Amino acid sequence: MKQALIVEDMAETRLWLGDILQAARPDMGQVAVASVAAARHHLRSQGCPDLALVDLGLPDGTGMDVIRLIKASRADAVCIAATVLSDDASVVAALAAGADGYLLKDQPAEALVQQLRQIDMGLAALSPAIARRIIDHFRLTGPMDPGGEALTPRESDVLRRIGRGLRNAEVATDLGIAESTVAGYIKSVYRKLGISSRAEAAWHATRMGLNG
Amino acid sequence: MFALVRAPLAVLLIALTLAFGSAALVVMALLDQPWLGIDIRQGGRIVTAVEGPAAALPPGSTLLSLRSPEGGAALVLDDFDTVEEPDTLPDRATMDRVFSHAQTARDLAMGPLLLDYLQPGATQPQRLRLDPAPRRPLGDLPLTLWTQLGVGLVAMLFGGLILGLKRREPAARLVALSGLGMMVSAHAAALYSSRELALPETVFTAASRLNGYGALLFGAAAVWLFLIYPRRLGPRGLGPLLAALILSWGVLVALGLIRDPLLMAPLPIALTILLLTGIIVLQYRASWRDPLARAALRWFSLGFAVSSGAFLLAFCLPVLLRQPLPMPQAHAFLFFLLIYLGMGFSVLRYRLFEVQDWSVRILYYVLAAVLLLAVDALLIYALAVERVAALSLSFFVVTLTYLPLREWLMTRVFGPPRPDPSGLFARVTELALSDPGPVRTARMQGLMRWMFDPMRVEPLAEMPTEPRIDGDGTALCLPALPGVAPLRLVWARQGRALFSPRDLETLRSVLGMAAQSIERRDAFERGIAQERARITRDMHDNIGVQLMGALHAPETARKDALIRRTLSELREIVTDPFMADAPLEALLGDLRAELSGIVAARGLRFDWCCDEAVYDALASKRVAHALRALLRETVNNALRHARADAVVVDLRLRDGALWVRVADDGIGALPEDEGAGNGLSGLRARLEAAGGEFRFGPGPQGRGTVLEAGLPLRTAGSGPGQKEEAA
Repeated sequence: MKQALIVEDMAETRLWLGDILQAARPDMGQVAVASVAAARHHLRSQGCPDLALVDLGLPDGTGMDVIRLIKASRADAVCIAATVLSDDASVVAALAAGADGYLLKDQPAEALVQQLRQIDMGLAALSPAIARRIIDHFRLTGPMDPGGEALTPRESDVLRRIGRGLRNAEVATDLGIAESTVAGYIKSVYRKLGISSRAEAAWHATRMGLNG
Repeated sequence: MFALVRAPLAVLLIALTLAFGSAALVVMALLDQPWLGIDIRQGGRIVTAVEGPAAALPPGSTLLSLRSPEGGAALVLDDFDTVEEPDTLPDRATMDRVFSHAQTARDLAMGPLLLDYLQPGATQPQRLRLDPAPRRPLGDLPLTLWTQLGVGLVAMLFGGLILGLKRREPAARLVALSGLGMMVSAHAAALYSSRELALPETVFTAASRLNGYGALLFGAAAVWLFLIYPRRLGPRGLGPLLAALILSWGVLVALGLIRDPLLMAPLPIALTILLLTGIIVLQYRASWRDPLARAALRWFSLGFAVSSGAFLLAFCLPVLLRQPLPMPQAHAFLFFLLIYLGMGFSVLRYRLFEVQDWSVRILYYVLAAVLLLAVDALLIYALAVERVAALSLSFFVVTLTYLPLREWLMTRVFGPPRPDPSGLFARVTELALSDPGPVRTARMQGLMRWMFDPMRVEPLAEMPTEPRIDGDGTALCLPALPGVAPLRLVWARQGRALFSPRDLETLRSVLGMAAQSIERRDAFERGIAQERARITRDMHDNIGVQLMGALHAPETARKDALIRRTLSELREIVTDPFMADAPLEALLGDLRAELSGIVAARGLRFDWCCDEAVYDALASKRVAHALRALLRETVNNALRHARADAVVVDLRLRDGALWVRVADDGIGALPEDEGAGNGLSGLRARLEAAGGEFRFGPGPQGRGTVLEAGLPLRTAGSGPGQKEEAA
């Protein structure tokens, strides 16, 4: 049986995240922990989960730490950042840390279930604010990060349209490509984000106010 | 030309030219004498070592007489004929005889001569015929000549330097005058005390007199100097009176009224030195309560007192008491170098005579030139090197020695170097980041202690606007900075130095740095306060109001929608740090995604038409909020009440205003529907508050509902924008 890990410090949220995960992936077993330390302990004792739902604001660190740990031990594990009030910057940081997608916890349960299934199936979704933030990120780090990869014109086109509020399907229509291709571009952007920001991790974290 | 002569360097150069000219005259006069090549122990007739024309003379022989081979009277020599200082002779007759013997010896030595002498241990005199050289070689001149010439040079160097820098100061003139006296005295003594046997009587006599006059001039000037510097002692005319009294002794000697060698110079010199020492002690006592004067006086007066006292003991007293001299007079002259050592030290360290740092540079350049000439001369004469080669060689030597020496002296003399930048930066930053008031003032005190190591740092009652030096360099006053009280630093470097214009300069730049840092920090704090105010206002205006609405909403769906919207606004407040106008692109992007999501979830069609220019338009926060509320409310209304199949949002820029049109194809609504619990009345109020306008009615051909609103934009020159004021 496949395993899912929920990392969330608020007990109530932990419960309903569990419900959502149960609804989206009834085939998975669940474990929930409340801190980075507990997640680390779980990874050591139980091994790496197939899917992880990670809250970004944890009492003893950030969800980015957990995502990095999971991705380091198993690159194909699906990591999803969950956030409610965290700003776009921390979501971009989570994507840069290797997250495969993110959920905004204030959305209706049905929408969350839907999104969770999509991400798990490999369909990436981005909010306009985060798309814009990613464009900014590449604009700022691109020239000073020779190791990182720049965005291709097509990826930029996709991001710009998402930033203007177009849904993946609309972007696909607009660009004359398949919706799955749009998702592919977004995944590629995530990957580049991870590469580009690894070198800039410290700078990035400082700029986004995540160090304090 | 006149201005040039008045320049400090010109005065110094004139003084040095005088001194070098006088030294050259002395050397030339000595070289111009016929030379026997005998070396006689001073004050006797015993030959010590011999070279030159009289090389055959056995060492240890006693000279008896000189005579010409052509006959004529013999010059019978006595012990007095080799005396170093004629002032020490027992009476005037002996003195005059010594002078005339020197002339006779010169006349005889112009040709071949016979020298009678007594070999050591022998009783019978022997005779030697020798041919004196017409000129004395330079190498034969004794070391004592050079030391005495050197003392005179140094005296003129300092006298010229001080006079050049402070021409109008009576004290500086007196220093220069005493230097002149010292030079005349030392150079005159150098001349006759370096003679072999021959010297023209007139030259000998004149030099002997000049030695005395120079000494009296030195003494008179020094007595006057210490009667007025640093403080005036006694009545105004006392200095000139005493000086005149001392000089009048010389006049009496010149007039031949004083004839005894002891009275001619040694006695008045001894008396002058005693007087001078007494005056210096009085000066020292007078400066008891004036640390500045005392500090300046210490080394200067010490130099005068010690050197004069030593001269008194080593020369005047033995002469007066008819005792043998403990050392040659030439060596006693070296004591006077102490005066100039003390003077130089005081000038550099305590701004004696208020001389500035740059004067020292002049001194260094002159030193370099003198060094160059000296090395040059040494190479040419001693090593017999060709002139051009000598010049380049001496350039080389001088550059090699002078530059490092100068560097070393500069750092020694100017005290601790400027504060090192990294330490300074850390301290200034700490100061700026500390809390205003006592804490920041304490940090400033720490900084000042670190920079100047003052004896005391005390609060200052007045409020100076500029930093300034107080009390002639004993104190430094700091103006107040934001959050720092004005301060007064007393006694730089634990009293070892005074505050200099250089310190003031450094302080000014450090204070400027501190003021800027404080200003930056304050600006930063203001920024934080503004940001806090923005968050508070946004929390109150948006979050509070929405949550209140959710609390009172009757149906759960409405509650959920309101809470969800509140959360999304909360996210915006956290995310958006900008107070200023922002392009609409971000807002429109978010709204389109949000609305299309909602509309699509209900299975409706959502069309979004937007001019490209709209995305780039700038909107104030108020307008942005109004726009968001407008779009959310109208789209929600269409979804909830209109039973429509499609919602069309149209955004255009016209006349500097943003025109929004939201249309649906539903059952339609009437203007009177406004106020029926659908939030339209609130919307109108919000739009009008933002300076916008609002129309609401049935769509074309009576189908559906159309809402049109105009919102002013910052760039607007006309339209509803005129009503908008800065948010």
